[in-house]
Amino acid sequence: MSIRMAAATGAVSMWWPATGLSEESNEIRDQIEEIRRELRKPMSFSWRESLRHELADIVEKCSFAGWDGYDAEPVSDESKIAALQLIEVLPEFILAPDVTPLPSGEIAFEWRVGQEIYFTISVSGVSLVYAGVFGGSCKKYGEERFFDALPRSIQSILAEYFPST
Amino acid sequence: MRCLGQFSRFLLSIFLRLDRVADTVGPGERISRYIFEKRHVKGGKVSFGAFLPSRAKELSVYRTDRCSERRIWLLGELFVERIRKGKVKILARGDVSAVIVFEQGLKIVASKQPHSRHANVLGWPDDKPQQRMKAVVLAQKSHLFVRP
Repeated sequence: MSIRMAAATGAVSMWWPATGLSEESNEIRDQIEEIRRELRKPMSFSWRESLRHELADIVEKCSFAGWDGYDAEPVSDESKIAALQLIEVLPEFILAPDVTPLPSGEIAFEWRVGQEIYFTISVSGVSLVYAGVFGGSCKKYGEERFFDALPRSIQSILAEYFPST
Repeated sequence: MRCLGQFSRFLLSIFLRLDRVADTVGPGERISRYIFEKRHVKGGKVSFGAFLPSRAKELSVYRTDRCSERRIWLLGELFVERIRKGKVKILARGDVSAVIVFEQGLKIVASKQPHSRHANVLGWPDDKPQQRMKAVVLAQKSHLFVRP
């Protein structure tokens, strides 16, 4: 491929040939590219990524019975998969949640704003369980079907109480 | 000085074993849940995960009313931490008033074992969302104390 053709197709930069002059320059180019990729990421992507890491850590550390010092069940791979699915469908515009292992072996996500507003969700199979307090005596809790989209009721709670701005 | 501290701790542990409390739990009592898992402490607050019952629908707690801080931590060390398998350590505790537990329609039943101050929170519903809601309220109304 000629330089002109390469530039036209966008395959490589015509000012930055694909082959480096040395191993060192290749390494620097890779690092710069990594930084650029990082800068291009939306903010929400970074909290999703951080949740995935935390999830992996939870699965590793809570994989035995009694991890909570009491009678907790081990956090299973199924719980991890369910939590990963939930991370994927969380809206972009909300505050980052905390990840919490539960004595049942499930993994929950929780949001807290001040002393009064506290909301939690978890997924097990096709069931999404939620519960929260929203100031005064206002409580909301229930169970929804979860396939590959966040139920509207949960979306509206997150949008109303936990917007990122 | 260190020996004196250890001796006073030894005496406290003896008195702790002789500790007696009423059979019924009063609404004004303080209830403490010891926390071993670091993720059950979030931003200076207790997570609801620490207040969810076991599969047997029991939540193990201690009645720590009229106990000094030192006594509460020693109670946890001797009668909760030491009887656990492995080397799990108490990291913190969540304190909640018994009346908050009662308001959720739950009961606190003294179990007396392994210590006279031990009790179980019972009466949890089978329905998962309802169970979760109660644990959320307990967590929200609780106060976190990190182990010194």
